[in-house]
Amino acid sequence: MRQLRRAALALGAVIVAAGALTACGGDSDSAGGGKADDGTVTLDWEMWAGSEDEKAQLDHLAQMVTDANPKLKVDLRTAPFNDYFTKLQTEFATGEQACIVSMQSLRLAGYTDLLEPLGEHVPADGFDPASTAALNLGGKQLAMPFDLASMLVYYNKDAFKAAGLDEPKAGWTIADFENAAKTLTKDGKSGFGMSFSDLHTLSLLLSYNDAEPVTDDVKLQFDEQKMIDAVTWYAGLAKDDVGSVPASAADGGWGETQFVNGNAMMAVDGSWNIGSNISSAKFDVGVAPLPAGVGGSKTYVANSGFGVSKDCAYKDEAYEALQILTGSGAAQYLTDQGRSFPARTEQQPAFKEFLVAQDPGNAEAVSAAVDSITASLATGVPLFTTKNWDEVSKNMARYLIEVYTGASTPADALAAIQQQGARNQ
Amino acid sequence: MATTPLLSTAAPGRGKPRKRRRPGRRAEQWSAFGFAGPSVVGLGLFTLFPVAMAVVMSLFHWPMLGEPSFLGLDNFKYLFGEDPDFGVALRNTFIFTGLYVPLNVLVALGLAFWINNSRFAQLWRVLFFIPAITPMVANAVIWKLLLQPDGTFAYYLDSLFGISAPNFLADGRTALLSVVAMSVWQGFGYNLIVFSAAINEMPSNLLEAAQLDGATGLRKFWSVQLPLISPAMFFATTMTLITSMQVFTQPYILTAGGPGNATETLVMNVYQAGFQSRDLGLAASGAWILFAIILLITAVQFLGQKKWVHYEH
Repeated sequence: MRQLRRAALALGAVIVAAGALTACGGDSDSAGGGKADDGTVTLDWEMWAGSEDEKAQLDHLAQMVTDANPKLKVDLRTAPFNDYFTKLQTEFATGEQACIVSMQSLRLAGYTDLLEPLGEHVPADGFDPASTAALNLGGKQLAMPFDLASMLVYYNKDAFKAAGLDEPKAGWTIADFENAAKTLTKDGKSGFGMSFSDLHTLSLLLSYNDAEPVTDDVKLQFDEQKMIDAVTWYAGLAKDDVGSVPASAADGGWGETQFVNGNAMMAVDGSWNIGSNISSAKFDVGVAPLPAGVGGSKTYVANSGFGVSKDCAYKDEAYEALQILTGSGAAQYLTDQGRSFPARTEQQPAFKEFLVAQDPGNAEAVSAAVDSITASLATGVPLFTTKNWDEVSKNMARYLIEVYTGASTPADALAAIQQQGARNQ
Repeated sequence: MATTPLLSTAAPGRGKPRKRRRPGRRAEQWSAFGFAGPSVVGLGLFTLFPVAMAVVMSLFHWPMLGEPSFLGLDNFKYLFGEDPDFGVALRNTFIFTGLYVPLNVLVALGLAFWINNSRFAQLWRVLFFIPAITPMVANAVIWKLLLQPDGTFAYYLDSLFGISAPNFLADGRTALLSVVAMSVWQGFGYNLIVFSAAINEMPSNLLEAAQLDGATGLRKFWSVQLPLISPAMFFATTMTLITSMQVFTQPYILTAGGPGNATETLVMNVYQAGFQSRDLGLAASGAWILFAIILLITAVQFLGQKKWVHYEH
């Protein structure tokens, strides 16, 4: 009797343990959200955030959804930008993706089959046409935009003043840029912080000689001659420490970080960082469009938005949440935080007001800077990328740094990026 | 005093204990299964099943999103043939292991003997062990700052020795060495504790006898002390070899495999195949090649232990 009882207890323990093991980690709700007994729907929202400030902004937006509709809650999940798309792919592969998926225009190609085309849920007006166009692939609107970005040159106003140089402004050329960088390189500081990030590097190359890494039918052409010429020029900036070379292939944000730290006097960075760069830097920050090359000043335009995953079980609620997250209330809030140039045309003047308020002593210069953003957006080109762009941009990091340190030639490095990228494009 | 056999359930005075032992034995076995059960279920679900799946996946083209298709051995052929990175990753892993393991063991051994006779031996052990328990990512981030151009190392090289430092992590020649240096600093603490324990266990009568026989200093170290701690050394070397072949975090954080592929290791190659190229079949084949290599090396280690490891009887 005793033995039987012991055996039964032991077997019971196994069953309970097995049950516990299989239950843990399982999701009892459907993909991306859940519905409570009182009818409140909670939607998962996946977004990137690089700091506590950014996360607080996103929490505020999530709260705005519930304020508008108490039966709708948004559960925010974040990851740093560099890891966001790796995490996103893994989530899609395992069915763990959120209902509301944040998307960047550069990464759209890999998600055309995973995001629900928004079609008639996108309002006909209110958005800057460039912002919706960048998130529209193959005629399908895959995300609703919240910002619109071009690349700019950020410069250290104090350093320019001390060196007696004219500040960069709309219409300045590559030659002006080179001259300023050389003059400002002294006392262990570099004139320009270099980068190998896609938008930062490729935009400057585009402005230099119209070099484009991707053809019109979205195929890679990293090894074409204009790219080689442009990279040769860019890498040449590293001579004599005029350009500060990234410390390793893992330093994705080198140029702009060195700028904000005061070690580089100029850097290319996105217009999404105007607010945070101005507040983090311990010097006066100026902003100018990219220097004009043979074809005038050019930039790539990119933006981000929110989409709905195809497997979301609560699509109607998700569309409603999207309207609020990209609505004028949310856009006004983000603009007041100086987050980025808004996709909504109505809020765009408020962005200029924010910047002027940050720097009232230079109202004129700041206004001119924002005007140059607006102008560059009008002539900016969206960068449509291949579906393996994640892999391509990681290869850009590894191979371009060898060119900057002189260990490899531009032709060889670009050929390597092209050859490895072409396999899965 | 006669001890009652554990399995006997015979009442005193009654005969035939054997007939009642069998049901008791079976219940004992069930009881044993019951206690081992949860562990086995966990091992099966989370280790054995994924390992078996990985064997299957290595024979397929298995994209993260999409339908798998059978390829046979093509994944392995690709890795050894066309893949520009796999051969380099293999070479880098061997170089890393060849530098890291001896350095780690030597530093740990040397320091273990050195602090053994110190008054503050416990304090030293704690201090040296702290890097081993600090999260690897935190260590790597700090070392990235130290190794930067105009970072701490560059600064002291310049001010103390007047040498202008290379860009440690961006220069192909110094990148892997920097990764090795950081790894040795991080990892030697664990082996130090193992060796310290072994050194404390050395029987003092043997050491005294050796001293009386005239063996001192280096002779005593080489012929008496090292053989006495050789089991600990075997353990440390084998474990360090296995973990160093699997190195991933340090190169990933410090250099992301760059410049070029100078610091790309096998596990990094597997990670890239799986999560960047999203080809899980290719990643699984790379992982199995790594498994085969580690198995081979460990087998050689075990075969060789008869020659140099002295176990106490």
